[in-house]
Amino acid sequence: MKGRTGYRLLMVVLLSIALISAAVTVSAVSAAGYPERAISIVVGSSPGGFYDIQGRLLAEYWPQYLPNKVPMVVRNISGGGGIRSANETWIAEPDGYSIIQIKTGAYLLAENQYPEQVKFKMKDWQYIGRYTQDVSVFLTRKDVADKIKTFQDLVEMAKKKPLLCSTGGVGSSMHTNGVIFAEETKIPVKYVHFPGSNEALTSLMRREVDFNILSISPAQKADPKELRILFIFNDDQNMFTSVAPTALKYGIPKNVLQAINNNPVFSAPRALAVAPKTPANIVKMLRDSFWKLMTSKETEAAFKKAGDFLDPLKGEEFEKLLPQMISDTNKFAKVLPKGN
Amino acid sequence: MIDGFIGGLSILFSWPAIGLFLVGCVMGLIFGLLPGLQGGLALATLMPITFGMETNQAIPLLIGAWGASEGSATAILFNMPGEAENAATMLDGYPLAQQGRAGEALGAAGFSSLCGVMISIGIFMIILPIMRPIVLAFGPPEFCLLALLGLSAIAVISKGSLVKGLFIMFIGVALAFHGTNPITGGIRYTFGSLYLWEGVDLMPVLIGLFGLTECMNMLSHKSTVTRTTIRVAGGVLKGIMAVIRNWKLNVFCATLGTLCGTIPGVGGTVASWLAYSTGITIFGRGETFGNGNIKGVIAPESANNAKDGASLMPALILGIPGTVSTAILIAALIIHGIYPGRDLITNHLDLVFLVVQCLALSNIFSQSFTMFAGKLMARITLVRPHVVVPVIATTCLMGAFTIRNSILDVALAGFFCVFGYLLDKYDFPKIGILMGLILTPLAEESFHSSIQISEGSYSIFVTRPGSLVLVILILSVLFMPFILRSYRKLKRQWLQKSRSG
Repeated sequence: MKGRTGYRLLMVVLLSIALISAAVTVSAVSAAGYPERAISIVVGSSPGGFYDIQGRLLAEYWPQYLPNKVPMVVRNISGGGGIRSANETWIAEPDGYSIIQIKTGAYLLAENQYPEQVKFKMKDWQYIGRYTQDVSVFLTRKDVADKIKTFQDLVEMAKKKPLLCSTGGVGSSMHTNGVIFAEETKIPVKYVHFPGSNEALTSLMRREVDFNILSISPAQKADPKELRILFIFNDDQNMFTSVAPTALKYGIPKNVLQAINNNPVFSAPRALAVAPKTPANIVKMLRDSFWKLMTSKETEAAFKKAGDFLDPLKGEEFEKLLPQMISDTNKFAKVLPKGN
Repeated sequence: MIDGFIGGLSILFSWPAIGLFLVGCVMGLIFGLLPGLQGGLALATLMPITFGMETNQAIPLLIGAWGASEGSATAILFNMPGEAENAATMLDGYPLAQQGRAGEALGAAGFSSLCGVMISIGIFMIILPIMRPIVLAFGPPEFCLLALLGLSAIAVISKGSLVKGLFIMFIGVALAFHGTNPITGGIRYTFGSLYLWEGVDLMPVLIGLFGLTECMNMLSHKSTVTRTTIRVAGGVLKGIMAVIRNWKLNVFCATLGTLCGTIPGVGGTVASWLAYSTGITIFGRGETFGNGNIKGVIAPESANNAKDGASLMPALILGIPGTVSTAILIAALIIHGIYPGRDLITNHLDLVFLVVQCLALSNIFSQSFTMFAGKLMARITLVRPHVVVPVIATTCLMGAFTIRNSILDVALAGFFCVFGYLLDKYDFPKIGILMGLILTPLAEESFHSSIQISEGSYSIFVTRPGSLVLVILILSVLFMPFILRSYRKLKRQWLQKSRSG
């Protein structure tokens, strides 16, 4: 019995040593060999939407710039206007395997307006970089556009009767864009809210509203015989020569346009980030590979094919812009009408 | 047009497009059978795979998966819809399975779905040139009234006590008021929880109320799904013949489904409920429903598949997706550099026809499978509960989790499982909760939008032609039974007087 007991004890000790060694070896491999498995790009909306498409394009072309060329997958976590995805990534293991797609303006606003729901701190994410930001346009019907050929015409029209703007819901980008536009130009605007941007666009075609302000990508797909982009909220005519005149050419004062575009809720930079305590070497690896991705012709062509464009900025540089963005958003949050 | 039609066919029947199409169909079939995994999710899963493909290969794969995803089999066999739009099918489909007529129900579901999608594709082809004014004729006032029309049919659908039916419907309505209202911006009854921000999701409620509750019922009664001898032989054919006999109902519901699919924002779930409630009101007078009436299977199945074909119209022509699936389809097209709109119709008509042909053939594939495998699938209803319940329960719970990758959805399904069990025990019609949950958001949001458009005037609900027609229809549904009863009573009294006089 004594011999058998001793034999059993020896087996237990050897097995324990083997298990501990395996665990140590695995963790050693994990730390040194990142990435070893698929990396998720966490998207805060359901499949098929605007942000989802961008996430999928990034997931398609990014792996070739990573060591080990591991695959990247999109994980859709919808709910709470995207806040849920950010909350979950914030508290996830900071191992570099979850990259959150950040809607900067929306998340800054959420942090200000719903502090009890938001678990993350925008200034504390470790940013990989910005890959694009919105260029918005003023979209209206052809018959309305024919009457307001300049900014002054628009002002005169609004003096007779406030312009009706359709939105995809209170707090949606169409709504916040409209509020920012009205605030900076002092044009009176009334809002008609719909449960989604598609319904908002259809209402324009049904002649229920006069205009809406939305991102250039979906606006360009609207039927040009019915709807017209009156002007683009951008002062770079070279970038959108075939689309429509810039806001400056339309007659909007330069300081007003700058104030509108500088508002991060309006410009809606889209960035990628990882949780705060992610190891510095992993963050550097992601930043380096991200920049190679952003400067590649293949990525640019893929985004262009999808009707989108890149406007990249390195993570470290994006982080420097954050304090000003937070301050601008907090000021804007005071004028944004609250829901009831 | 003919060139485009032939062009589409030649693309579809070339290699590897046809191979990819069949792969997509099989995948769609699997997704449709599993609760919580819907056609839209199949599209989302396949989309990244198509990045490196040619557009002519990507479209057959994607549309094959979308068109073949079919959730009526599980709705009929296990009281658990594969997709939310198959919920109405459960009401009469499952009782048919319990009566040993699962084959008949499957045959009817398969054939009416097939007829529905063919009718909607036919309508799509005919009205393509004049589609725009039809799509744009329906706005928020019409949506609001459509939803109220659906809700008003609770009186017809409630079996047993109307008071119980109304009470349960109001519970559904109350559930629908949770979460953020996008129109007013108010956050209601979330109790500080981010989970409830977007309201109570329909699928966990469906899974709990029906799928899991049925598991509990099977275990507590120690019975199989079928509580009697099943009639398998000739069952499927009998179901097909029932659809042919009720062709007017089929055509009506397919047309209604087509209309709902054409209008962005209405959705497939609303289409199938509207078809069920209005179809049985018009074509099922004097009959009972909810106990295994074959018309209760034909109506929703015809509509929810017709909606698929029709939803292509606003998606491909206006670039406005009416459903989640068409939103993903548009995204997939855009990634391949194809933009919906006038340009698509003018310069890529062969691709438009390819989409339509793939949808038609994938429906033929999946409905044929449902019909021909119906005999085999009907036998599942004889499997003992201790074998089938763990499988169904696990699938249901996994389905509940995959909706939003949230364990709270699983907990919600569990809560509604217990609630559903109690409702069954005390004979409350569970359908009322679904009607309230599905139709209330549409009614409320459309109401608010309408009032904002009219700047506070309620006359918008009667001054638009479409709205006026719907108001008359609602009043007819609500008051016609009383008017007819009074008229018959007066007529009887008059006849009696004239005979005695």
